[in-house]
Amino acid sequence: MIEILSATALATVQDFGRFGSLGYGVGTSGAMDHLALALGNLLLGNPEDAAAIEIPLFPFEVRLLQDCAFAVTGAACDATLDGQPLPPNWVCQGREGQVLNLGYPTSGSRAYLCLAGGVDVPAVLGSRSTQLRGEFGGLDGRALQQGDRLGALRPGISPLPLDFGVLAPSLALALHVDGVPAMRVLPAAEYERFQQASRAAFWAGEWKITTQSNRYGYRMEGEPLLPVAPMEIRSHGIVPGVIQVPHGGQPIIQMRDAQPSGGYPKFGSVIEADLWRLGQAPIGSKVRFIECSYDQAVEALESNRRYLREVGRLVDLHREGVKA
Amino acid sequence: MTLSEIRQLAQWLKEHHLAGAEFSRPGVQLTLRRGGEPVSVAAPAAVAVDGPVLRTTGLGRLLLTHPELREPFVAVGDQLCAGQLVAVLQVGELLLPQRSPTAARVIDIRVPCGTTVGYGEAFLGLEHQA
Repeated sequence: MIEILSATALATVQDFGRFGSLGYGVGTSGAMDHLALALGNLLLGNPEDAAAIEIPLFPFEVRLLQDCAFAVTGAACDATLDGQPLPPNWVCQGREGQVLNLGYPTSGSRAYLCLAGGVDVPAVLGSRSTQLRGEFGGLDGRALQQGDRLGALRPGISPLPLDFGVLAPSLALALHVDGVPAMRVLPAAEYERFQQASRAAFWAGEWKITTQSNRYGYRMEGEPLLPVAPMEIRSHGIVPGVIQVPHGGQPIIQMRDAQPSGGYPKFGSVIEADLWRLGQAPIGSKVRFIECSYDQAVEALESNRRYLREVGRLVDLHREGVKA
Repeated sequence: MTLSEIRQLAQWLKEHHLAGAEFSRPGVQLTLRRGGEPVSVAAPAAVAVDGPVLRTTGLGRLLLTHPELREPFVAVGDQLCAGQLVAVLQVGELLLPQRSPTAARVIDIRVPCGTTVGYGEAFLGLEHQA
């Protein structure tokens, strides 16, 4: 059991997401950085998709009300446990009464606090993720507040050796263009209906993540994407990653809390394997886009799987070594 | 399987001019090969060891600054408390902590950040409190 001490808003309980309910108008929600969530759970010996707390604003502070192993992954924030520095992407045994403080990140933008066994909130429609729009899932369907208490499914002293870390996915799976963090994009249905110059500018230019960006979507700023002719399209299904272009030509990238339908033309889609990179890109920072094919998008997902498998293999080896 | 057993195996391979050996039992798989590219391991510190030192707990790349942070874990002159993290050993994707077992003051740092080190390498000179 932990208690939220900080008053910063918008921390939510998230797992991989709520799949299979888009047809009922229920978006997927889920962690903005799937890799950080999977990594934290892997360090704790949890199921990969166990729920954790996603923290987008700092400082964030919790008190442990009982012994509980935990991991902090995602953004490299200035973390301390009872005043002692806690490195990024690290797992350790927490003790009753200890206070965990997460300060402003030096890289990345969202941290994940994973608890042994996962955060214990009821699953709704097959997921523990907070569905903010529908006000269900997570803790009472809302963001966490000061004084909230959350339990872990496997509290106590962990039988597994803890106190170690892993190299961040942003270093192990780095992807940059001209020194700027990059994401791979698949051209979407209306791509060909944008002007040639706009299409070229999209791949060649830098895109700024504006302050109008959150779990629902990121509004990007750059050279406007102009259609060959105005388009009027009926609303249709969309998923996280889809890049819509409203009038004015400044694109919106749908993120994990995206609504399940929309009517703006679709320029492209940030591939599933790279959505975590966008989830960690801070507001105000710039990103680049790399055109990719369907096969490359599938291979990128496999590359993420390989990274997690390799970390899992090393963690197992380390644990056997410590026990021996 | 212990380090001294592995050293003994390596010694036997050398004595009998064997190219290599593979050894496995449940939970352990060891491959030894002679004549490979030597792994560069920092030479043991040449300075005389006056006071207590911290030694690496394993084999890996010794990092004095976390790859995602700007500030090094410790600097010369720092007062350490028992259990304080002073470095990490990078083994593949893993980062293993190197901690000071006791309260002490850092008097010198003997291995540059990023050096590949072996087991038991002295990397931090310490001075215990009176």
